[in-house]
Amino acid sequence: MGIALKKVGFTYLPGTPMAREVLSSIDLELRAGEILCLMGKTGAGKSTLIHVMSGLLGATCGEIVLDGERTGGRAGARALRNAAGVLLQSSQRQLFAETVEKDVAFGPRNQGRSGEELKRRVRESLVAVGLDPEAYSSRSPFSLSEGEMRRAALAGVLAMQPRYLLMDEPSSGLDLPGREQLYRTLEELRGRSVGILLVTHDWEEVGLLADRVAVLSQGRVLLEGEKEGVLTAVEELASAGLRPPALVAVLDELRRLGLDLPLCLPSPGEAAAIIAKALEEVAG
Amino acid sequence: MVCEDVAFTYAGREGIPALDGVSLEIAEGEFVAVSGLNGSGKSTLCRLFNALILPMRGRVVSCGLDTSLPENLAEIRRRVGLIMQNPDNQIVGPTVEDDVAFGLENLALPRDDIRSRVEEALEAMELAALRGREPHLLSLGEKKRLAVAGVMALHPRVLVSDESTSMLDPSTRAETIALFKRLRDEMGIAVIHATHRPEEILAADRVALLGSGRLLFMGTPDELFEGQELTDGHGLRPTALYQLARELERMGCPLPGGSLEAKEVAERLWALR
Repeated sequence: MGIALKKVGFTYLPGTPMAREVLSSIDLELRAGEILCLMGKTGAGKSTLIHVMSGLLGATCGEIVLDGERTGGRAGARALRNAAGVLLQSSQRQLFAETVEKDVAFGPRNQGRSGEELKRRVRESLVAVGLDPEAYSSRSPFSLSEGEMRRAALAGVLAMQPRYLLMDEPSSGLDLPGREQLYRTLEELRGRSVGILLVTHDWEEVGLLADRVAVLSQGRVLLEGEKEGVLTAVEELASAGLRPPALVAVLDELRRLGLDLPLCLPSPGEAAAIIAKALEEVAG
Repeated sequence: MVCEDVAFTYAGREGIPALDGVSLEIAEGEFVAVSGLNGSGKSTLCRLFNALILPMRGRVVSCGLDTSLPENLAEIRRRVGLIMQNPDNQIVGPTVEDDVAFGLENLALPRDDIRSRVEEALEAMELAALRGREPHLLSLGEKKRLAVAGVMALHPRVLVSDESTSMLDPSTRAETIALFKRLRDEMGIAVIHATHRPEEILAADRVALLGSGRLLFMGTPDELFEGQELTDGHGLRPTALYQLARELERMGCPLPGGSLEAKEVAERLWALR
């Protein structure tokens, strides 16, 4: 089970002088029940990849296989859109209804839910994103703060109970409790076999959540694998225009200066111990 | 910038003030971070400085001008530039150059003045090569610089950034913070920057922490992160580098805290050997 991109390419305005290839020859699979973190510099093609993977944009070449079935044409796009919930980068712009409750109910209502079930889904989704239904249901989404709007938009996606969730920087603009709430929600969804693609720039987030990490650079997958390997691949990350996590960068700099250190993904306490030990050895 | 016992409540939110009894002062050329949880009042404070909203109690004085006097508004908005979270919300021109000129044209400045100020802002924001580009073709970081350029062309004394870094990738974010410091150092512009990010708070001269509309703390970033109850309850965890510095200190390897880059930390440690 999963959404697999096979040699997928995407070009904006193909066949015109303005043609711009944004994705080329992408082989990447999002599996059910995993969190795949997608990283890359601004402009690397991350958002376009979400659009293509969710059927919002049609791939210019290659194919997309959804749960073992090849998708193509309109029916394929519809299948992808039904399977994958999308949270866009400016997710506050996904809001439009008069009240938070109506906004969150819009998706599941279109899927044919009604009555108690609809109400229950709205309530559960609001709770899952940390918005108290009592306090927020009847408010206008446009009276919310930016952080609250992003949570409301996520609730609207969750209410549709998608099998896959493609999220473009869902934690940006959220405070720490908001992020922790989001992480709990994502872990719970993963436990229920939802496959989650998480576009992020936040190493802490990757360290906490990722089962696998993929790094995009200029429309191609530059790195893909377990997080420890990807996050310590300092040179490849640099070639994708990314800085490694701060503590990995400190260890790497010290190695360059001549300290004998392992390059790993430490906690601050572990890093301090590793560095203190290496400094002692040098002092001899 | 002076706030005296300021309170503000949004329509439809009666009984739940967005800000309540906030008093603070920000000096010329100071870089102040404003932090706090979502809904703690950061954006409201930003809007009060720029006189987009007016206090319901108390007084806000921006660049020596009381925001409650209608005759001051135009001047306050010229002197206090506001940069919003999403640059698309404040870009209006068909090209980069036109967009920077927009505010100046509204001030009905002479044509030559407009031209020279646009030039200066484009240079300062490294946008000169993109002057003819349509704004929607810019990257997010370029759009951010364009939004700042449009504000800078008005020659403000204060730059208010309402979480303007929250949508940026780490390197563009670091560039934006470096830019704020440059405006402070080279032009003496005060920067008021609302943010959740500990690394950005550490880069500021002082930090104001808001909670449920009240000012809970005003002091240096180091003082803030020392008082752990305060940071824990308000969603601020010091950066990994800051924690590393503290851990090393406990082990007898003193390392100055503050907003160090990984490279600097490594070099200082190497010097300790």
